[in-house]
Amino acid sequence: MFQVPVCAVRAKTLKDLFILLNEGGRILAGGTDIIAQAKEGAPVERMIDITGISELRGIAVTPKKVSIGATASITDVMTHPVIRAEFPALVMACDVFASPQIRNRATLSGNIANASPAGDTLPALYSYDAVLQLRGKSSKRSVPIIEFILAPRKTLLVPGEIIVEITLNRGSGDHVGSFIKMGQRKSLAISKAMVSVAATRSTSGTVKKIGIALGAVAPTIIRLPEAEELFLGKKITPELAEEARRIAEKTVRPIDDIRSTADYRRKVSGVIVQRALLRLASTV
Amino acid sequence: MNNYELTLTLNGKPVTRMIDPADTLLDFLRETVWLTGSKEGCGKGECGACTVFLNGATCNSCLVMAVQADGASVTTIEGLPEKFRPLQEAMLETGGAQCGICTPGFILSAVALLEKNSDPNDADIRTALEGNLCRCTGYIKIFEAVKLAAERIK
Repeated sequence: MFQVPVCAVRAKTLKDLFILLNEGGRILAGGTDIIAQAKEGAPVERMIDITGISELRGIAVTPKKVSIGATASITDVMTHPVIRAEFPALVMACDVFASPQIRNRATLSGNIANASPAGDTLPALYSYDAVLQLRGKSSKRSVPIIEFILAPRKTLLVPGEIIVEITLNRGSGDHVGSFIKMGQRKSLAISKAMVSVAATRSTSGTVKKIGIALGAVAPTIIRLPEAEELFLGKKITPELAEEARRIAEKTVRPIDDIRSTADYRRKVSGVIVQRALLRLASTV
Repeated sequence: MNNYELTLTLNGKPVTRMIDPADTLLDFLRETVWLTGSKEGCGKGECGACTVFLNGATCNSCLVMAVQADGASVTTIEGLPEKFRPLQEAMLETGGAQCGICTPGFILSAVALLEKNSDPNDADIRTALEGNLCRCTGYIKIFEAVKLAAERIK
C-alpha cells in the first residue's frame, strides 16, 4: 500500500487542470510509474488525473505531421497505422515496453516527463527528432525532445506546465528502423542498454536521413551525430556499421548500478549499435 | 476518508460506492465490493496478478487509482464471459494452475489475446502473456492450457 498519504482528483477540462495544478499536485495519466513511486515512498501527495480531458486524447495525422495526445497510450501509439508505416523504430520500442497491461495504460507523455535515463520510448523519440508541445495556464511553447530532458528525472517543465502533445514530423522516402533493448528478461525489464536507429532511404537505397540514439548508458539519452554522418548519402554496409560501433563505445558515459556495470554497458552499446545497423543493411 | 462517490459498470452491472480517493482500483475490487479474484502479487505492476479489463483493455489494477475508473466499464475474473470458460477448464486439465494465485490474471490476459486472435500460435501466446508471472508452474502448462482452450473455443 501507500507509504505516504495520497489522493487522486480528476480534472474534467484543461482549464480545470491549470486551476488544480496551481494548488499543487502531480500529473496522473497512465499512472504506471508515478503510482509505483508513491507506493515506495516518493512524496506524491496529490495526483491530478488528466485522462478525462478530451483535448489531450487521440492521435491526429496531417500530411506534415503526426500529433500524439498526452493521454494516448503506448498501445494506441504502436497500433496506429501511420506510426507503424513511417516510425517503425518507435513501434519496436513500444513492443519491448513493460507488458501489455502497462502498455494499455502508460502514455508517451508520461515516459517523457518521467525522464528516466532508461525510458524505453525515449531513444526512438530522439532518433525521430520528436518535438513536444507544452502548455501552461497562459503559455504555449514547442521544445525539441533533445532539449527537453536535462538530467535523470529533470525536464524543462516549469510549475504549472504540462506536455499536451508530441509531434513527429513526417517526410517522404522509405522509412526503416531498428530498436534493440538489452534487459534481464524478455519483458517487464528495465533496460541495461538500448539503441534506436531511424533511417529514411531514397529510391536508390542510400540514406537520406538517419538518427541513432542510445539509452540507459548516459545520464540522458544520447544521439551519435558522428556515427550518423557516416551514412548520409550512402548505403548501410557492415564496414560502416563496424565504425559506428567504435564511435558508440567511446561516446557513452555509463555507470555501474543494480542492473549492470559501466564496462558491460560500454561494450554492449557498441555491439547493439552495430547489430541494429546490420539489420537494416540486410533489408537493402 | 470515504468521500468520493464512484460509479462504474462492474461485470456488466452498474455499481455506486463511496470510496477513499487514495484507493487503487484493486483496493476497490477486493475491499469495497469483495471481488477477491484479482490478487495483489506485487502492488507495482510487475506480476499481473491484479489484471482486470478496464474499458475493454487489460490493465494492472494495482496501478489504477479508483477515481480513474469513474464512469468506466470494468470486468474481473468473476465476470468471465461464458464463451471463455474453456480457459478455466483447460488450466485444470493441463496442470496450468497450482497455487492458483496467478491464474485469474493469466486467464484475463488470454481472453484479451483470443478476442483479437482466435487461432494464436505459440509465439503469440507467449507474447500475450508476457505481463503475467507464475512462481509455481514454469509456464509451459499455462501456454498449453491457452492453446487447448483456443482450439475448443474456435
